[in-house]
Amino acid sequence: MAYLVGMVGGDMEILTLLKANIRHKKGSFVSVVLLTLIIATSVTTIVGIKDSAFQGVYASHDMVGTPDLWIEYYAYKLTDDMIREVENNARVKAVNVDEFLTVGKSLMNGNEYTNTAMLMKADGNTMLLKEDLSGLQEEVPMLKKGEIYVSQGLLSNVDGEVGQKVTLTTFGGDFEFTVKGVLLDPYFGASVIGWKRYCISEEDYNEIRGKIEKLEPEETQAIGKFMEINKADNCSLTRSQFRRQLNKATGVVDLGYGSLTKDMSIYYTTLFPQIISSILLVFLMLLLAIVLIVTVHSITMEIESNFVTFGVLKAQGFGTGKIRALFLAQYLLAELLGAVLGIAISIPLIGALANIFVVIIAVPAVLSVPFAFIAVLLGILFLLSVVAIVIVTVKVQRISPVRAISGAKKEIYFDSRLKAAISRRLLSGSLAFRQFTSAKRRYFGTFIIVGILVFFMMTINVLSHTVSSKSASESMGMVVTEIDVSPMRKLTDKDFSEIEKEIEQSAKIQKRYYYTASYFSFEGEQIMCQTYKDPRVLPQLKGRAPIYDNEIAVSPILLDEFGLEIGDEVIVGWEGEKEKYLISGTFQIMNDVGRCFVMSQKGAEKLGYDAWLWGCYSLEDDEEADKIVDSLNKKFADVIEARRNQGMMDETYQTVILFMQIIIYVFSLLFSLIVVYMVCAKTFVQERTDIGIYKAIGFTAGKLRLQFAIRFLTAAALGSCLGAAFSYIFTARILELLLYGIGITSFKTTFGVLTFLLPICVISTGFFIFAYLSSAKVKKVEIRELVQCE
Amino acid sequence: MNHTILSAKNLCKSFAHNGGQLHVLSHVNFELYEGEFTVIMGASGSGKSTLLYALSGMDRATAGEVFYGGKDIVKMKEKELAKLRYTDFGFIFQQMHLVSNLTLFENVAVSGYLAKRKSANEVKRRTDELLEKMSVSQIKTHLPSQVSGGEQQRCAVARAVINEPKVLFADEPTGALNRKNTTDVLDLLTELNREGQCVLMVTHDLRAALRGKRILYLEDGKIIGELTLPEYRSADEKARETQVNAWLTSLEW
Repeated sequence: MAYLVGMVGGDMEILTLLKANIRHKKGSFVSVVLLTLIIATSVTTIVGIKDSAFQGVYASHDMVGTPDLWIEYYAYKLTDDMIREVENNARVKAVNVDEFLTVGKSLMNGNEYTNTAMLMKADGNTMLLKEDLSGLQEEVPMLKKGEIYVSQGLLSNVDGEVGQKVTLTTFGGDFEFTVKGVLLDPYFGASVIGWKRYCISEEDYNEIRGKIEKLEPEETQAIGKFMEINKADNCSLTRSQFRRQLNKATGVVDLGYGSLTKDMSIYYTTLFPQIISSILLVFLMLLLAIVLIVTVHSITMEIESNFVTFGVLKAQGFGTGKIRALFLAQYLLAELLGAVLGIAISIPLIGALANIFVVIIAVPAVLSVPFAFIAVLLGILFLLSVVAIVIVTVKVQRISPVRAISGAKKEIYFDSRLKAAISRRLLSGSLAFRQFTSAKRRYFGTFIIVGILVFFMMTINVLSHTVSSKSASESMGMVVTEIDVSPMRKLTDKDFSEIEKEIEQSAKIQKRYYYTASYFSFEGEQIMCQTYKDPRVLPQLKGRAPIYDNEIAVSPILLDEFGLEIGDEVIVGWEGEKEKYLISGTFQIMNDVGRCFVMSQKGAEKLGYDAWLWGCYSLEDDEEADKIVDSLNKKFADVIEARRNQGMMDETYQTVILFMQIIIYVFSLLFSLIVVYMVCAKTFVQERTDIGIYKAIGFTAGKLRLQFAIRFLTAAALGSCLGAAFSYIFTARILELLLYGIGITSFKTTFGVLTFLLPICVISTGFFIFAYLSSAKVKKVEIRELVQCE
Repeated sequence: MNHTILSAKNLCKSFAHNGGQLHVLSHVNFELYEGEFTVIMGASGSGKSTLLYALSGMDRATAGEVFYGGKDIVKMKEKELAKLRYTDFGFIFQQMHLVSNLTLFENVAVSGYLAKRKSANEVKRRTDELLEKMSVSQIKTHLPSQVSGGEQQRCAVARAVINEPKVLFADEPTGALNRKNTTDVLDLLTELNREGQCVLMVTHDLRAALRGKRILYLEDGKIIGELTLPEYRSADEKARETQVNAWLTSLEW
């Protein structure tokens, strides 16, 4: 940096050379500007969009005044004494209690939403999103009879929109409403959170409540209450710790059938923006590494090509320091220019795209430009560039004026070569290969860059393959089924046997799962528990399945969170009953982002939990699945409700992954184009004489361009192998790190043919075509230049 | 009776220079005869290399015609010219210009492969013969940067004749060589000519010019003199030098 300071201090000779260099090597300068611009634009936009989404979530929580802890109960279980006890707890600041009606199923646009929803009365605090979801409506119209407000999360899940009808199944019967608006509900509104809240008119509410009271007058599960608790200002506990301590003191969490802290709500809500931006940022960091490789490569080539010039400069009295300062100034200026332009472009982009996650997070974004993050990132880029440039320009020290002027550059050009023969039949190909092996260092950067690009392309392919492939999903412990059967009463073995007989009349059952899920108290926290008839159906990561009634298996995330190990004992509770259970093993599960445990039906019954098991079936051939569902619903109409399970993962997430795949492929090709252009330009300068000679002995420009393209194809093919090897070794680890947030702690990579072939073909073809196009300058080489050469 | 193999009519070549036009060749008329060793002489900047490049199709003339085999090569397309270079014309540069990452053998063989007239084995055999003849077969696996200028130039001669060209163009082929290598290369060209090879050589070196049977003198882009000589014999070199010297003096060389 001292060089730069000196330059700013008035070294006009460097400024003059800098201007001349930029003028003379516009292509190289513009390429570095472009690469930095792409990185700066992408990073700023992605981080900006993510931050805007996060800010939107925080702002919505503030606007709505959401509680620190939310617990839901069957209304009859929440007593005034319990409420008072909570109110009197020293850690509690305020308590609010409200009532809701339980909705078991919501049907909209032909799609069912089967998670529990809370039906509430709209009041003066109700807030609505604008029709385009970009902000809040200033006025909230009073709901009339038959009208409803729902959260965006429901609409995203059922692919619905305002104006459509929704049918709610309550304990008082089915009721149809017209959706009049989108509710602002930062606590439950996100599409990834199962519980939902709807608001209807007081008239409708009272009518449904009346019907429920007639049908189920006592101890009904149809009417619920929730308690919203805010911790005291002087309480320094985290919200999770607060929940645990409050439960220890009052037992109110154990008595509820679900609870959620504000932290967890925010975590779930922002999970996908976080994961998507993390994946893209990791990719962009790799692109940043590419920018550095390109810079180093470009400088190396420049030193080789301008060996004589630097010798002459040294002969004139330019010191090594000044020449190195020239490189630093040239490349840092290009990076700075790219960064400034990139940030300038990204600001309107963030504005335009900030609300892109609204369908997932269900709250409008609040525009946020991450200046601090960008400043740090650019600082790192500049620092790394300075280090890289200082290291790579060490070579300048070795240039002596005499050696340079006497033509020592040939020694540098061709340091080694492989003895691959020149073939008459494959003349262009074998010559291209010779040129490639003669100047391996020239293509080394390309080789590494392709390796990085192909590695990431394969990684995203593996992710895409996993979410769209049944076998890949199953190998990771996901329960993938085509038909799910929910019971209307507790099903016996005979019931299941008859159901399965009916299914197997049309299709062979590949795998069958009998389980149900509820929130149990786990060491004082509400954690999802999956109760299996036989837990051995789940693949264990470590230990063994909880086959005895005093055993559970937990997810690794839960194990980490509670600081537990296999063999430890934990307290599990259900509606006030508590028992000790031994952790027999770990398993992977994505439900509740990996915060989940499993026990056997016998184990759950010890707590008085009466498990109404579902039957979930994976078919060998799912063609007949729809027909089977129809026939099951006809034949067992009063016993079960069968549903077709459409996919491994929600369509939204498949779309998101596809979107990321497209971004990564487009960026990879864009980078390939720029890298090829830069390397081609430098190679062209160095090989101008050879090109002239080839032309003189009868090679056409077309043949020479083909040789150029084959060289890059070779570099791309070899780099692809490197990328494939990296992918084979590191993809699982990378995805585990990135997807830990959704409960994936052990990623089983399944490499299909396409996983390998697609990136290799895309990159290799891209490099071949770009190199062919970039080498158009070959046409301009005149043989008569050989007269003036050297 | 001399048989014309290549002819030029009103050949002109200009370059953009300082916002105007620099006329390097001005209405040159020229005929090259089959089997003849023709030398073009002239002072530096007289346009002799430019004439050679224009006649060989390595560069396009600004105006005029160059006929070879009944066709005007000035009007030929890039592909036709490329073909001409590996079928009918051979070229030797002053700076050798061997492809730097090919061995001497490969530099010669690649031209043979490109022509596709012979099988790969025939090309290899012929390459070996030529390198033997040029006395560089011992170093045929070396890269150009690993051999001397004279060896490079002998290899360049082999490359130029691998496809048995009808015309061998040589642009100052001894300009970058020492005395010993100069003699070797000139002997090679003389021997090739004796075997029937038509050679058109540009030089400003009197010793090299002595090898020609016909010497043309170029000044300011025009041929201003022509001297015909008997066949070269080393024993007559002194007398030949005197004759050429006198002729050049008369042209104010």
